[in-house]
Amino acid sequence: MKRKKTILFTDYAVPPVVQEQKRACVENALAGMGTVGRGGTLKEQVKTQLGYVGPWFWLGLAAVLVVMLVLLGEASIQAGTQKEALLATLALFSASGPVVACLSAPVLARSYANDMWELEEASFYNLPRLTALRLFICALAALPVMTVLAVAGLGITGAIQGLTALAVPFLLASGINYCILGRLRGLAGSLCSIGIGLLLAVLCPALFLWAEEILPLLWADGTQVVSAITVFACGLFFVLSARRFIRNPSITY
Amino acid sequence: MEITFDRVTKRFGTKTAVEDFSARLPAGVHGLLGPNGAGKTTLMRLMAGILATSGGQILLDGQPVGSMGQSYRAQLGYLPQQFGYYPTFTALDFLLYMAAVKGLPKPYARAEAEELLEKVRLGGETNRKIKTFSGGMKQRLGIAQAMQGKPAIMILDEPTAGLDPKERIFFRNMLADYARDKLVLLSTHIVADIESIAGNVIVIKKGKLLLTGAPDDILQAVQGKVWECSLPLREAEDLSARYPVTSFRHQGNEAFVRLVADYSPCDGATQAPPGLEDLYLYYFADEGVESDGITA
Repeated sequence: MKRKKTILFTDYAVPPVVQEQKRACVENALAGMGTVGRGGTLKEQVKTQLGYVGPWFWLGLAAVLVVMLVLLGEASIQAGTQKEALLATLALFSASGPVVACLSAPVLARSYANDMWELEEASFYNLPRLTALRLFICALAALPVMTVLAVAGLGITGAIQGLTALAVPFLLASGINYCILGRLRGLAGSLCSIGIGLLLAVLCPALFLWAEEILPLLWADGTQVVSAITVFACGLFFVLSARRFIRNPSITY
Repeated sequence: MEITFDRVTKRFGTKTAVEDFSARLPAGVHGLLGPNGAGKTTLMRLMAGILATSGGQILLDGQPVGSMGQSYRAQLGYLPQQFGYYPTFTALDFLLYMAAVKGLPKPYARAEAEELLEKVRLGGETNRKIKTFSGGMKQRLGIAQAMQGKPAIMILDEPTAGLDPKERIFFRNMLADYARDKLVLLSTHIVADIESIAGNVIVIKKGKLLLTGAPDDILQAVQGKVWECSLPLREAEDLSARYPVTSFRHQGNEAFVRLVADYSPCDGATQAPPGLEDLYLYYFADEGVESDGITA
């Protein structure tokens, strides 16, 4: 058969997007992902990354928790019987969690220094996203532990208060962080990630004040339901923003 | 599977790297040919999603890849021109790290990494640090990582740079075997690589599409314009100053010259069947010739 001669591609017009065709295209792609065992859901992605998390990760997380426990104990002694002060300290530590997430700066710097950024940015995750996924695993592992610690420190009656103080700042700050980072890309994204980290570090004292003044309203008598709803709403926001960020809906970010 | 570039433009400030580029890339090996600064790397980065287009769009089976997110990225295997590595990593560490970034399950990734290292002849170097690797070994490791996760679309920017001829031939055979039902976009200065494995050649100049088609088809553009002659040395040197020469070989007091010209350059010149190098030189003789792969 005679082959077609040289094509000068000047008169091509792209047809409009057909939703059915698009769905078929994405389904084919997902089927391709499935053949190598790569999951598309957040749960599957967390499970996959757990396979790469080594003992050093868990040791590091345990060390952070021990430091927090010691500092909380110290704050408890300093605060005496003032439960609010203890809760505020708890909230402060909680809010500073996302700062740790933004401290992927050395990792990013190392990536740029070694010319790895281009390879990483063309992959399934880029480095900030991979770091975010690891933070998500951190949060999943640390939050229950910290909740138990808070409950133990505050007594059973203070459980909901402890949970609110602990979860709300962390979930909100992380969620906002994911939303901001999800809008940025490339070097600009990485630099902003560092910037956000520094900003959150500066904001921590402000968050401390916020926790002292606002959070008591949530744990006043008779507002446990409000607290529970707040925690749930923040949790939902955190999971949705994390999922969107980690799944990377846009090809360029 | 088909990738379509629809009037893709990329500007960096006032400089336009790719302008109104349109092409259709069905499954198969596509060779991207053009001189330095033609926009090859920019085009590949656009396709890999590292850069966003300034105008136009890239489509996979008619769907804009920008809206496909991870389902597009999951299908990509990419080897950049500037291939970096973490020097403290061993070959296996590197592939496992890339598997984590590619979201591959670890048991699968480990088995695949070992298989790929064998395939690129680094099986015995699994636990050796990359910083001790030669340029060719690093390049082979880069090719292995591009093949991780069995991507349906492979983008390879100068994959044969730094490989010796034996390694290049091995790579070409490996790629031909791999790319049977996949889409591979390959950029290289080494015309022979494209000639031997690409079913379709895309020639770009100053960010614009110049020619595209099967090698035999696009060679029609220089059919009857390739000449060979044997001349006294002095005349041959005069001739080579006036025309783009693809071959100049001393033969005693004479010289054999192969050149590209619209008309017969001298008495006794005979027409010769054209090759991609002739085509390259015909279009890019004024662009500054690369020493690797252009002159014989």
